[in-house]
Amino acid sequence: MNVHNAAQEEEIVEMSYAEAIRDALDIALTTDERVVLMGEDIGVYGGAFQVTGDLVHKHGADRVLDTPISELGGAGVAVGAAATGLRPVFEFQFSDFAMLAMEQICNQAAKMRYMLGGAVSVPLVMRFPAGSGTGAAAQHSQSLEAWLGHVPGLKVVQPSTPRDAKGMLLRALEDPDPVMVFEHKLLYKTKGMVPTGHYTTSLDKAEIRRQGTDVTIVASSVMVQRSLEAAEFLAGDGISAEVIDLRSVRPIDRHTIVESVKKTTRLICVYEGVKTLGVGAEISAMVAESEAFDFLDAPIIRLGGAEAPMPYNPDLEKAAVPQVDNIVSSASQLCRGQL
Amino acid sequence: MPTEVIMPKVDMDMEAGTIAAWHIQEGDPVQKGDALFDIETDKAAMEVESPASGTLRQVRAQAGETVKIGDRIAWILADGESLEVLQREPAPRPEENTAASGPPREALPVSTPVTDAAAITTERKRATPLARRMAKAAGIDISAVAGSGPRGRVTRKDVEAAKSVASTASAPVRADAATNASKDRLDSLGIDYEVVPVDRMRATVAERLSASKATVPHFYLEADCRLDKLLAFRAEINKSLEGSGSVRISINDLLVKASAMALMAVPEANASWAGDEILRYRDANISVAVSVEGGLMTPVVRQAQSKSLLAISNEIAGLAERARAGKLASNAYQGGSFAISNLGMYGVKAFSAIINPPESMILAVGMATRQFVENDDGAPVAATVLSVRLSCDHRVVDGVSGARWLGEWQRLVENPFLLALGTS
Amino acid sequence: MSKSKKANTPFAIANYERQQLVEALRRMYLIRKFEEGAEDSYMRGLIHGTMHLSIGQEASAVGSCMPLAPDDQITSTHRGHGHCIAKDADIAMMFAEFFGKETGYCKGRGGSMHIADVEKGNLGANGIVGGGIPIAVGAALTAKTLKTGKVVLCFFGDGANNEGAFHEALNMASIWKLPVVFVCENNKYGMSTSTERSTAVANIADRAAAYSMPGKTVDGNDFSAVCEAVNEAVEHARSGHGPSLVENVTYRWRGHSKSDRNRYRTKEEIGEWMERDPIKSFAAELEDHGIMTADEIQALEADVNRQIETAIEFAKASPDPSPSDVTRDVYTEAAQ
Repeated sequence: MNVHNAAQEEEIVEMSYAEAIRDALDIALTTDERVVLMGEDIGVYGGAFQVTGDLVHKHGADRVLDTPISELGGAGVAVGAAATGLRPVFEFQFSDFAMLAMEQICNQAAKMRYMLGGAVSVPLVMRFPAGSGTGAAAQHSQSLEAWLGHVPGLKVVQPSTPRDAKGMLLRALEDPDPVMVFEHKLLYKTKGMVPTGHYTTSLDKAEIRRQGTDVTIVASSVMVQRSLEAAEFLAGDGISAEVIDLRSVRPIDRHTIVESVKKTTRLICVYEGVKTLGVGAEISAMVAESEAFDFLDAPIIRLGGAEAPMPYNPDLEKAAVPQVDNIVSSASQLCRGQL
Repeated sequence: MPTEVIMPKVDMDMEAGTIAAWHIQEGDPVQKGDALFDIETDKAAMEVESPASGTLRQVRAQAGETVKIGDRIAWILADGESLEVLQREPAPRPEENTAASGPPREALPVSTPVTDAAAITTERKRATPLARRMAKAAGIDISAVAGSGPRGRVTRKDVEAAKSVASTASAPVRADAATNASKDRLDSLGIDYEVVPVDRMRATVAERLSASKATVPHFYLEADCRLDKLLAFRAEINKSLEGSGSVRISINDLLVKASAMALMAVPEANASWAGDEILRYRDANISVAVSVEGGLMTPVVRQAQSKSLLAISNEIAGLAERARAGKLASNAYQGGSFAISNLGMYGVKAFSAIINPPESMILAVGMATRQFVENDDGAPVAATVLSVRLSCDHRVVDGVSGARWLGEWQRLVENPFLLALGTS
Repeated sequence: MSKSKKANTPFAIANYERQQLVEALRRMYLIRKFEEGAEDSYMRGLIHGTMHLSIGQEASAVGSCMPLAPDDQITSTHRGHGHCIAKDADIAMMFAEFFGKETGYCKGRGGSMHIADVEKGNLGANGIVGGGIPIAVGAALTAKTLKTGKVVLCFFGDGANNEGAFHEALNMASIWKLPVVFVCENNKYGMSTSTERSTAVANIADRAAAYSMPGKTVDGNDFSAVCEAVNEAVEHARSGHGPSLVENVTYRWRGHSKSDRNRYRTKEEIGEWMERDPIKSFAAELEDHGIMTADEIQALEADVNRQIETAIEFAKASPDPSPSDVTRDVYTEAAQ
């Protein structure tokens, strides 16, 4: 799935997810004068999650632009800049704040090309630090990928590993259309092996992270790691789970999921966004409509976020999103014919 | 307002009906309640009464044609009504074309109660899409497959089990090319033959019994019964009935009564497999095989345990007559838990019958023969001996319970006065 | 432009060549006749949806674009036909768009409210009030970052001055000193609500002070006054001094949209503004200063009428988009 540029890919080193993103941004700023970073406190502060770090010192305040606390206006400036020749990377401090900018994201960025009959492209990249697990409660912990995934004209991705975070961001910067990158806050400090230099990773392909035969677990973002842990438990129990990293919410890689379900005959969707009308609902419906329907030997199960705002109390916060235990028990019951 | 005549739903799993015959011709007058036309359904011909008085017009379906239920097949115009009225009528919308909702007319030409669509849905066999697809490919009737999943859901595992049963039993499977004849093949071999169209009844028999043989685990128990006392008992009864104008009691009537009493004595054998549970009947509802033109009907004598011999006899005679006339209502041949099939009159000594699900046992009755048997003193004596063979669904009936039932039946048949006493 | 002719002549007359002034009048007529033609076609059922006519505001559109270079950019509004024509659009392609045809500017995907001509620097009308303001600032950020020397002119209406996007965008344009000119076409009503009832400041140009940029209110029906104010703002932007806000006070003769029943203003008020027809007064000015004769003006008007007829015929004869192309141009690259 990964397209590597062998000439520039010198070595593979361990990096955190945040470092991998910074590495991608650094490469883009260095190699493409059209690239500008925009966002609140991304300059000397280094970003709320230290993703941009010291890039401002290397590339200057005109390329790493601290915006006022103006999400709507800032997003709009990024849209206008993208439509006229820059390649802005706009960072929302928390993905929740993107709600202030929905007008520019959904009415302008997503639709401009279509409304104008293809006369312009909007090569805009937006980054959304998302998800729960940090005790930040209801207005700083949401997973809104399904909101934006509902809008034709946007591409919406959720890299789950440092390697993908870098490769998909570099690919997004080459994409002619708006790409929304959801980065789970719990992933920023996770480490993984990342090629140095420039490489890109597809924005529209899911990745099978673990092969299995009994049940397909389609997981996104931080849920990929949890599903892999669950798969390990399940293996000890004689259940062979296939774990698919969704990677892209729009478009969804139908082929990879459908083929997996045809093999395993069972499907569980694991995602952190609110369960109802969420990404898993879409995957479930897509599979039910597909040729995989005739291969289903059990109901499709969705494990999604609770039907509640994200609570503050750490136990409640855990209870509000799928955990390894939930995945293990659902998969186990499903494969034993108890669901 | 002219009255619509539609193809009514007269059977639970009916989707379409074939017009067997019109009793009234187009343009002829008809009175409300008169027999208007007959429908040939899977099992029986149904007479449909006219929903209104007037003149029959615009007959759209002739005898032999098959029509989706709820579709209009004619109009009845009252005096003074004209066809112009009809031409202004909007065409019925498709969603109105189901008997369940029914077109908003004053009278529906349906004389039998219309089955609620929801009832059908809940009765649909639970099965995963994969199980359904596999069963279809294997020619297995999914409704006959035991489901091990929640709420009796049939899964891949269950169909695989059913397939292995089917293959070990080497039973013929519907639509299996290996068991089907082929006209091309016969032609190539120069074999002369005649083509007989498969009617609904034949198709139903083929489908149901193939599925049963393929998926229901049959086992067989055989016994011989001394019939002398029963024959004498019957002779006495019939002698007492002489001149009463009543029908004569047949051997079969007595065997039905014995079967009913045995079912009450061994309740675990009076049951049906329902996937994740077993449904045990409180009454003995006995299917009696009746051969009819072109096939076989199995009308049910309900609550036979509590009916007198005379009542059973009269009921069977009535059911057989209606079956042969093709006028059996669908509920008259559904709901049995046990069947009895008698080929003795054709000189068959013994045979093995196929269970008709959801029934779980069928008793095959052969010919009674005169033979020497040993008496209590060890001396040979001439006796009338009846050979029977009981087919059991092993999912419901174990060997022991089947044997207990057969033993009880034998005791009743050999001691016929017990039949007169009835069940306690 | 440049070179002053007479000290006390109107700015435009003094600063533009005859050819440019004739072209300005021609575009004002084109806007008027285009909108009358669109209105007529709408009433004949040839155009669906709705449209927002700017009849009466022609001096604001053409006067504001007059100081722009051909590759300068504009963002426009839902009342944007005039801006599009002022930026030298092809009215045949505009009519085709209004008729929903494949030959239209947006290939029938946008209609009146999204009319754009990106090649001529019009980044598009916008269906969202205030939606184009941050986009204009973004375009100015591009100009500054890539040093293209372009100026971006951002049209918006009085209604947009109370949107958050307006304030956020003006603030950013100011702190980053971006080459953008904000032109408010104050036609006194945001749909039905007057600026007196909706806006806390007397003049929308007063808002400029909050963002440390020059602000000026002018008679938007006076072509030359608009030219002068916007020209100053464009020079200011192009020389790296950042944004300005110009408020053109004007009036739309027609209702807000085709479904307006004019309950919020009087016939007398509309009549008074129609007396101040910006085209008539500009034509009179050209005649007074000997730029054009009455006959030349009449001939120009007749020529525009013919152009309109031809454009409508082109639109009518153009092919409709194919329903199978409904998802075309959602993305730049076709999905695999």
